[in-house]
Amino acid sequence: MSAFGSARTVRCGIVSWGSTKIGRHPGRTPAELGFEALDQALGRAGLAVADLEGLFVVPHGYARAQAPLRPQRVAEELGLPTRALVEVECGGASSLLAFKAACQDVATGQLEIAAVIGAQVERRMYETGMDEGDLDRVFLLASMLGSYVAPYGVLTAVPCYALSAQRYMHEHGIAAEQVAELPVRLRQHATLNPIAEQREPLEVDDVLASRMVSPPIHKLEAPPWSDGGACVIVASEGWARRRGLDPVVLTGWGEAHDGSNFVAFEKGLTSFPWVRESTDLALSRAGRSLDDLHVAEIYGAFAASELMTYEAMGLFDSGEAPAAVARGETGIGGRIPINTSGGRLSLGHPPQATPLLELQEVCQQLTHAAGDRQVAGAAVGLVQAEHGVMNGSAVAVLEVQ
Amino acid sequence: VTAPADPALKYVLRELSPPAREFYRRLDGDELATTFCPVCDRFSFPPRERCTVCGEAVTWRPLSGRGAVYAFTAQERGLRFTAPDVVGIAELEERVRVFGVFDDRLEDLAIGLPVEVHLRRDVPGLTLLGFRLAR
Repeated sequence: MSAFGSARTVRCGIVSWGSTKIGRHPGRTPAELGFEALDQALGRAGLAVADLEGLFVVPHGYARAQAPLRPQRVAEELGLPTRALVEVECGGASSLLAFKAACQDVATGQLEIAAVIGAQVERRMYETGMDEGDLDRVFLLASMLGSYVAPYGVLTAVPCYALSAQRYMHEHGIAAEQVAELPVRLRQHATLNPIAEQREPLEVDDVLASRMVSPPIHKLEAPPWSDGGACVIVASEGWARRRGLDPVVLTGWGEAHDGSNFVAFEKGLTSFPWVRESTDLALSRAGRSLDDLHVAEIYGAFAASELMTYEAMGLFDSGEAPAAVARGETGIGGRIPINTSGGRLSLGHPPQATPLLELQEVCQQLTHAAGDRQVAGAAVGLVQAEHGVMNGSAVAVLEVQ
Repeated sequence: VTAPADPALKYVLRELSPPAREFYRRLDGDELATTFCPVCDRFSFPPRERCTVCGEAVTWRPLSGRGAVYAFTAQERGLRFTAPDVVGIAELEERVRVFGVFDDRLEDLAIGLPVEVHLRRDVPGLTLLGFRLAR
């Protein structure tokens, strides 16, 4: 025995998943959306709340004053005694890191099975206005941009992504039309995904005609700020098999973070070696290479940052992602289908739940439950998430046997 | 650093690190400066208490305030300057990149154009960096 239970780490994986529709959920709370996703995940696999031994929860979003979503409250609502109550926060990567924490507790024997839950409801605030408490949360959110950016009144990460996008286009001579091709392709995927927020067909001209949110980023190159909740259930492989479930096994994990947040002043705005490091680490631990992947969900909060992430991971040479996307290499049936869910730009982006939605999509693909957007023969998948403006990256490799 | 009249800065000012306080204290005194590691022969921005590469003590050194436009954008709704705020990054002669607000209009800017830093005192609580295209 070891301090946590197992003498050696045991294999673990995802035995079920669930989510709300992504979009607008006016009048509902993050807890309600989280519980809806949990119910769906339990129901899919014939599990009961009482089966769960641990709860891993991501706090609700930043920019709205509301009752905190905390693991202790979730446990109370469920009336569930547990052996692990964990909250994980690291920006957009939060729920992937919560998934990792759950997997670690299962792998080391502390738990056999746990639920990972993330949800947020903030959209309505932007549509109906803010009260005093909301405004104070916005000041708190802006302060996350730190001592050298926040004083300039920068409210969100959007201008920081814009600076990075501008450098990317400048350094590689990439035209606006080339960046605008990505949202068009992602939308094609989203039209096949019943939970996606934006499913109307889209053309490059529509993207370029949408208003400039923060130059050079057009509105349709930015994600909708969505409401949504998602859940995955993690278990040891042994527990899963005893219950007659085939887990989607976590075969490799990689994670690397720069010592910067939002603006990486010293590294420049287009170089993300930690993305490659996290990818290589996860793949090597899985005994896999990029060529082995059948499907990938990549965070991609904005069009240009998504293209840069493809390149930073090593999927395409520097500056080559736009042409590869235009050739259909990242589409369903292409060389490496990426973001078959529709990605952040069309599936929608509730950041606190987004990595769980990515896990859900890859699990659906690997269990051949992805309906019209199924990638034929998918057996090896990858999920990537980031925080800040790609200041850190986490990667999970998932496989079915 | 004094208490801000503007609530938008309250969390930022509460949490300024010692090097950030020193950076803004020097700006208040008309000096643009950051930390320099004599061992690595390297400036750092943000300023640091110790060199993040070798761990040695750093010294403060003035920066020229001359450089080139590195990147720029505008935001629809800023908390600070009159919309559209044109904000961005200048790369100074010392190869240090700093964040600031541009005096110039977005359509007049281009990456690589020479730029000069000046100090802006129109925000209560902090002296900030303004960028202006060099003539």
